Amino acid sequence: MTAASLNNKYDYFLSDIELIALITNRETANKGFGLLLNQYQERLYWHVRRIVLSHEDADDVLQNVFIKVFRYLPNFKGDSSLYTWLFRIATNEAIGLIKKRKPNINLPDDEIKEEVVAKLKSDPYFNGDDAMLHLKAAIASLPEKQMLVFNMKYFEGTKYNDMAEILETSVGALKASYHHAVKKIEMYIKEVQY
Amino acid sequence: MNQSDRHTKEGFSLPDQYFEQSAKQMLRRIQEEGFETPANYFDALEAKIHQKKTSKTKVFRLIPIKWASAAAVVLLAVGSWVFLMGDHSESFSEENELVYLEYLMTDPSFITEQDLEFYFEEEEEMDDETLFEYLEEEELDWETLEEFI
Repeated sequence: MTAASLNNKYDYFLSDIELIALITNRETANKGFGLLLNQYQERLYWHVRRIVLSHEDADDVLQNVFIKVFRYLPNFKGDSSLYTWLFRIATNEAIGLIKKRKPNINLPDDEIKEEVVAKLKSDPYFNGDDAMLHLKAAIASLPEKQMLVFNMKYFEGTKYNDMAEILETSVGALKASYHHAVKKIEMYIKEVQY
Repeated sequence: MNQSDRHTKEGFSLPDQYFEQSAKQMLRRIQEEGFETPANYFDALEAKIHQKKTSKTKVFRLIPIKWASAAAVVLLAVGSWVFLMGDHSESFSEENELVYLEYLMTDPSFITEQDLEFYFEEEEEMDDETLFEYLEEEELDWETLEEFI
């Protein structure tokens, strides 16, 4: 990937109002949309990638997210921030995709973990070590809300308040979900080690 | 606005190389996770999306009646709830709610039973031992306590 790419992506930061004004003006729409992409694409990509795991799926989801954003942005009233709105759409799209991929949601946890380990091992765009492989498997076997909270807190460093807006739940519920997730992951990692 | 402008914006200052460091930190984290992308993926993404959004024509889809009815029921229920519970003295976020619902309606296959469960999901119950551990680790606040009492 991409080592150098991150540094150049954050040269311009426009406010929500500026971005929306550009995108909703026919003459500046493409330019504005380019800036919106530039500003958010990587953060959204990694957020989605952690949910769907494969690059191909993350790419599909991200494209759909931005197409929906472009289509619905003119109706965006700004009651939440653009950041919240984008992350909410991206989260919903990513969750929607993994549900389509996993018709049998009642699969036992162990089978889910084995599936994820096998999938990541054969993924040309994953090179994590064994510890990371098992961590990803443990995360994938969590209930959705716990998985989202764990990823957002542990990997993305999202604040509980921001998370509460994106996932439309209370800070207390998020803290509890994170706690549950950590306990389950710790338990699984111990099992794998011994 | 570029980064150097931002250093002095509105009288605020920030540590040198703050944004570079935070980008590097994010990158380090991603590398530790083992995820990779094809070379120049992000550079090519914009063109790919532009192409897709301009070539996408509006297609009328046949919506399975089951989903159409389910979506209509959800819309009606949410609409009634918003109307009944809302503070009518000011216009609040109902327009955004409707935009969001409209977004859901564009892809009815998206609304599954699991989606509904997700939005109305009950928190898992904690046993006493886990609850005490949790309360010890987290700062106590009434909002959190009330959820478990």
